[in-house]
Amino acid sequence: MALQARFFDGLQSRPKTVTLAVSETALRLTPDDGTPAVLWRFDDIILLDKYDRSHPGRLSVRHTPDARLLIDSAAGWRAIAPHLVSAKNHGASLSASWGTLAAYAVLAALLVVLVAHYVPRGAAHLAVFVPDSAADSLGRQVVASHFKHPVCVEPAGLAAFAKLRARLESGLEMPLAYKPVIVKNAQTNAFASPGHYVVVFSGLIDGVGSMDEFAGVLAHELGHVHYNHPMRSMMRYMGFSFIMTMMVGDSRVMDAAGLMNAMRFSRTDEAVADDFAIGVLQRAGLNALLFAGFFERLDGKHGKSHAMLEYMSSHPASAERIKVIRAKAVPPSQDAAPALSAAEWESFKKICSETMPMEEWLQKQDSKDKKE
Amino acid sequence: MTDLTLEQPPEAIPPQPTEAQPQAEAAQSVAGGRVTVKANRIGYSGQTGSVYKIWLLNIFLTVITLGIYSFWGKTRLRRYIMGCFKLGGDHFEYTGTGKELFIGFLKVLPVIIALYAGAFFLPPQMVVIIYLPILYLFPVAIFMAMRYRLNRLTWRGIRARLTGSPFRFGGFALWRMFLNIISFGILIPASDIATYGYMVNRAGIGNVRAKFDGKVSALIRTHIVTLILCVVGAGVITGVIVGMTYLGMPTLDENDPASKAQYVEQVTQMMSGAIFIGIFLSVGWIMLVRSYYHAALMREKMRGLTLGKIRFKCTATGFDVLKLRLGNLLIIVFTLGLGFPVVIQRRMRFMADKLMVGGDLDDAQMMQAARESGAAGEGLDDLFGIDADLGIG
Repeated sequence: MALQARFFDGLQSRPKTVTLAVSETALRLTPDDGTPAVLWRFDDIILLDKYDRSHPGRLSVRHTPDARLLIDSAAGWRAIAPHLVSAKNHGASLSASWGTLAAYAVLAALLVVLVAHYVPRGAAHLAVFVPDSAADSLGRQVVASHFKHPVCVEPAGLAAFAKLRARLESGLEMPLAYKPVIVKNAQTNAFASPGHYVVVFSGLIDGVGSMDEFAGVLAHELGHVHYNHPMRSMMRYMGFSFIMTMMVGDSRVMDAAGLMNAMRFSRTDEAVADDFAIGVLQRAGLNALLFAGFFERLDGKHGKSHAMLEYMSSHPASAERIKVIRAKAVPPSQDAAPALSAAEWESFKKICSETMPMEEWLQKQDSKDKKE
Repeated sequence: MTDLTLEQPPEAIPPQPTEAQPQAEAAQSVAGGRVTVKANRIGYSGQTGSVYKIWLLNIFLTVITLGIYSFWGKTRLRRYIMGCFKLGGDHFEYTGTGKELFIGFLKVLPVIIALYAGAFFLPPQMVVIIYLPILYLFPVAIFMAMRYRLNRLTWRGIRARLTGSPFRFGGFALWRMFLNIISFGILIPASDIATYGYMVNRAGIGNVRAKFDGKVSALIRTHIVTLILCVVGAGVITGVIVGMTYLGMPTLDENDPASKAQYVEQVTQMMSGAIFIGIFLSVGWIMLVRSYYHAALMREKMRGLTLGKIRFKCTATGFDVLKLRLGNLLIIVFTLGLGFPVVIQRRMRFMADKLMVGGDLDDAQMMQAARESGAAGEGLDDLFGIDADLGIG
């Protein structure tokens, strides 16, 4: 029985009908139009598509890779297929079954979980390699873009703020370079950002119950600065975002979560900063128990719990945390002087009666840095 | 076999029916500047289930290999989809490989890194300066992608091709973009026709060169009408939303100075929210209205295209394109992206349904031309998320 097939010689588009002759080692293609026959050795044949009821079997050959032989009868394919066992398979058909697919899905999900767990932690360790200048310019960008509020600069308030900080710093075990700034914003919140910026919202000053509560929150943020948490969490975020972009090809989902999330510290970071704050407060002769009191109010046990929720949203508070602080904190001796007199505290509260734009404040910092 | 009535081709060649193909009807009547030729439908046999399998496998393997597989995955999908298109009884074939795409990606990696570094390290007010190279690289990437894809497309054993420099095309397209802007969009049809012609006149299959003889006049009316509808509609949408927000504004308690700052902040937030929603809806409106222009453009692109004696016709109406786009958008939104293979299938079927090829394919004497060198993988398209289609669009 003569096997016939459709043939394109790779030189011109006109289809030819060829008669196939199968031998032990080769396939002989004899065109019907009288042009010379060609010999395709089985060793040279490239298998592009196996025969299927829906599409023909498609073959090519190494010495004429543009040529195509299409076999559209089951009988023709049965005659040739046994000789093609060693042929190079370039098929586009997908061999994966739904089962294989499910197995790959499980593997991929597992990998995502592992990577999401370990890569950010690993990346955090890279924070030490970021030079101070880069950290500072990053910090500037964060402050300039996310805390674009007026900076509070009323002189008497600034003086009171400096006095409060000096008292707090007396409790530090080693000197700490940081750039404090109070901005006019009604939210009860405070942040530490890369480049050692500590941003306090004026809402926090109105929201705390006492001077020592405020000092406690400030000491806590200094703890973040001390341990370089902002840079570490930034690196965590970048590591995560990088690996997700590589794996999924798109980090927009992650970016939507925003840079603010990048600055969210881990639970461990918060505990470490609390610990640091307690030490500083005690050594400075301030009441660390009141710091715990602040978190109790965060939990909604007392008073203005609504405003406090804002602080909680970026600083997860828990009964656990309060318990730890209560256990570690000791009441200060009776003769310890308050950080600020009642009058100074009142003038500190008015620090936002005079403000300057954030850009101007950053420029001022810049010239101050250059002088030093 | 249906017939296709087309306008008289620019260089009417008298038909020469050969005895070898007695079934070839070839050109019959030449009357009134119109010619009737044999119509060939394009077939698409892709199965949604198969596309899903390939797509899902690509995602999983890309995740497992930290992204490296994506080049091979993309190739696998293209091979499947191109292979499902059929013309004159023969399937198209995509002969690209994942390795080529990967190498192409490595070649442009320094450019991508430079752009990211620029965006990251430049001070915010300087970031604007990287927009110009990006604007230029966008058409460069399109040309590179088209060049690669066409050079890896074969039909009846003959390779398609696109020659020419992507960088020159980038310069040309950038110039046309500039003209579009300074003419307030009036020149958009002229630019669309010119850039398409630039590419087509450098393309072909085998030794047959493609030619493009499109007319801007065919697009002017649709363009102007849809442009006016876009501007007016976007203005009305944004105006109504901002106006409604303004009316729904809370009143300020003048006696309480402390609440003033909060009030200003609240008002600012509401207004920027309203403007954002206005822009979002306007973009949707523009996309739908401009479907009519894009349909007219597709029809004109196909009407003006010749490949030797082969001619083309696109039958898509503005409403067809609108339905396709709106449907695809809704599918993506409501399936959270999981309906992407369905969208691919809809687009491919649309192309197969709306595109007709006129002329006797068996009589088209295409000869293989020399292989193009230097048409490495695309590379840059990833940066811009370009998914250039072969054929229309």
